[in-house]
Amino acid sequence: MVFSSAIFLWIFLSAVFAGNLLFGKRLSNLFLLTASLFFYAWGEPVLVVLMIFSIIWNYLMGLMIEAASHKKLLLFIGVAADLLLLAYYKYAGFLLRSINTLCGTAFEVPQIALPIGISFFTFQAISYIADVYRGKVKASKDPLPVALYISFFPQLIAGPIVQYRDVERQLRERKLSAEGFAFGFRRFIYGLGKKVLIANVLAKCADAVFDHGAAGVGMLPAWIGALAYTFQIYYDFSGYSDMALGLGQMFGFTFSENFNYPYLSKSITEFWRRWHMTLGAWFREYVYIPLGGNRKGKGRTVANLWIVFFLTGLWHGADLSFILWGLYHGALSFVERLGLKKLLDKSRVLSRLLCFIAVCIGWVLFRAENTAEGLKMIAAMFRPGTGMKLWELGDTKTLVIAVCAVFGCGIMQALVPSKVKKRYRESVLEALVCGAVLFFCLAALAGAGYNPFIYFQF
Amino acid sequence: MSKFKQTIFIVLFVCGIVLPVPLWMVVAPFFEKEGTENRTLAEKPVLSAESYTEYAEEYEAYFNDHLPFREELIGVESMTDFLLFKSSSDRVIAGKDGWLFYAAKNDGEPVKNYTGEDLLSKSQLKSIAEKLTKIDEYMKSRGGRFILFIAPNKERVYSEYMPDKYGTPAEKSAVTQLIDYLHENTDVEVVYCLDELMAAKESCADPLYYKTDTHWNQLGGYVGSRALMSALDVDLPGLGDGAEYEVTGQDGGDLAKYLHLEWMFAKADNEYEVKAYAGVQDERKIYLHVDSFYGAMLEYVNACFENREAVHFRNFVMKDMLEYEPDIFIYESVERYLPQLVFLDTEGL
Repeated sequence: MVFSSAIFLWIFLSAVFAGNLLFGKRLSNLFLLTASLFFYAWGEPVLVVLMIFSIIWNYLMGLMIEAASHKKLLLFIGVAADLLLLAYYKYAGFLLRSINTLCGTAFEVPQIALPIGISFFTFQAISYIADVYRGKVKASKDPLPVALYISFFPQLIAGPIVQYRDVERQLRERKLSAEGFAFGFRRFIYGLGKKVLIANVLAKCADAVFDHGAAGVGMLPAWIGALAYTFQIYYDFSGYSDMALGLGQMFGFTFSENFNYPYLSKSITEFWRRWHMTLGAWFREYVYIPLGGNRKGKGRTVANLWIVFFLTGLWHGADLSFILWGLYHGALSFVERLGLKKLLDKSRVLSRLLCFIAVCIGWVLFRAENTAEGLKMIAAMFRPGTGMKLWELGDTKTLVIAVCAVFGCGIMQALVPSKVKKRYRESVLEALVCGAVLFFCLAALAGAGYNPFIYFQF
Repeated sequence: MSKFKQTIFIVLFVCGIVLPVPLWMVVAPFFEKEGTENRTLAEKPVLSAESYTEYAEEYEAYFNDHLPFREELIGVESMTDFLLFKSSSDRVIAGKDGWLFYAAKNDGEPVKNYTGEDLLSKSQLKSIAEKLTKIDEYMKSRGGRFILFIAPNKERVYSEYMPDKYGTPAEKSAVTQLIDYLHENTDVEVVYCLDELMAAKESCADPLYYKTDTHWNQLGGYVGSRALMSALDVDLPGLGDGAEYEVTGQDGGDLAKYLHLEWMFAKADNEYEVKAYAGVQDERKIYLHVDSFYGAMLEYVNACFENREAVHFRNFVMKDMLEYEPDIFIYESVERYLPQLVFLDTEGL
């Protein structure tokens, strides 16, 4: 089920929120768990058992790790099982294809359907048992909090990746309040607007270019497509995160922020501290630091960073283009480490522009059908020539939305004086604006009908 | 957040999220359900062991097709897009001065006709020429006549109202390509009334095509009919020069419907009645293969020919035409449907 859909808004959310109020505090966890399993089963009627298995497995592992003496071994088994599940469903096909290409073998590549959200709930599950192992949290004797932690519908499909220790207390006790609800719903509406009114419109433009393909696309259209996608993915994903955080708040939960105006970054290093922050935090906590972080000498630090970027790319998708995208960011980070970052930090506008362009080029690789197409499209961006007609890419609406998108990605927020911002955020006008946004989103959803998220393949 | 503001958000949630479904269950019977989508809406699925895996998808499709206040919400979106952004849907181009144009990609490709990107391949041209020649030779062998009659797309005649970004209509496109090819390689007679329409446009103050519809109106249909009759040696007076007309009402067209804005364009177009043309009752038998553009020609052809039969292309079977044994056979087609000639049934010839 997608948040930006009529069935979620008018049936699921409506019923679950009402139910949560009716069932009261004591039954809330159980009710929300049931609702979350239903939510997941709606999209994965058969593979929902995987999630149920993951819940049971990690719950038991948590108890065993805490009680037993061979903690490390048990952790290893627990994490291995979690990763194997992910590896099979997400990477088996890719692995076999790669082996075939590299070794000239002809293993049959199975077509395995990717269960939605598996990358997210697997990482959350690992976070739980790892934290139990380190003693950062106590294993929960009650299965309910663990179950709800792994499956809670606001962040199940596309994050943010919540670490168990950050929500443990909220799982046991949380308060619903009118104010919390209002803050949450406000955030949700902004997220919905970002997705439906901005991302979906820009998607049409990006799709037109990428569906056309790099051959004969023309330099300007290639850039327009790249830029359209750059903003599309930001508004799509950050909009989704806004909705997730908003929904969490409406139910009394506070989750970690996932985005902090990433396109204002002066360097790639900074970018990864503003984009998909919870993923970065997870990799730092459970890969980078266990590998030694930056405490084992310069060479080891660099190696650790490359590993993290490689894994980040790989996490995003089972294709070479994602790995290359990750390594591309890794390479830029590496160059920054060598001294470029100091230079970038000194400038105010040029560094931001360069960083933005670098990220934009990276997204082309990310979005394209495959590596070859991606590289060809990037080449097309630097090869003068005409191709697609501009009117095939969009119309006045696309242009207006694009301008809003550019200003809204952080520029407006940075330029507007904080007093004005504060006044607006406290004003009744904002509530009315939200009402209008909600209304137009509902109208757009009625008109659209079909509405997938980009990050759905995770 | 102030208590007042909190209340607004709660009210928004109740009205925008909670109420729509239950409210709709109560008021639905009072809302007119007019299908403008020309497709069967999804049905409510039944949950069973077999349908389990598809149930969610099917239910969602059903729900989306039967959303509370669906027509009204779509109307809001269309209106905003049109008024705020002068933007069209995928099917309708918002032109200047309230003119709407067709942008379909699966109902002929009028935009490609306009930009000249619709060129036919050699084999398509050859195939069409062969079929038409067969018909032509058959009719001639019986002392009759065959004419390919082409009605231009609206945007060709009223290109000045197309948005600037589309430029001017291409010099060479499928229609000119086909006409030239037939002229050079066959004896098939073609009547393409673009020149007549452009001339009539100069002398006539009223539009010859509807602003908010894909079709030509009674005036354009008259001009086209006159061109066709002239080729058949039947004389009709010129528009405003023997053939007078008057306005009989106002209407909105199919393009307004595609935009879900019928209410806004309800009076956008005039309906006309052309009077006092001297209808000549020709005794020849005439058989026509037509499309919806014939609607505006029907009256005039009927007035000139006593023995006639017009069959829509969806029901056209060549054998029926042969059975009718007409003296004149007309294949009428709007420009954007010309590629369909490749599939013309010529069985029995």
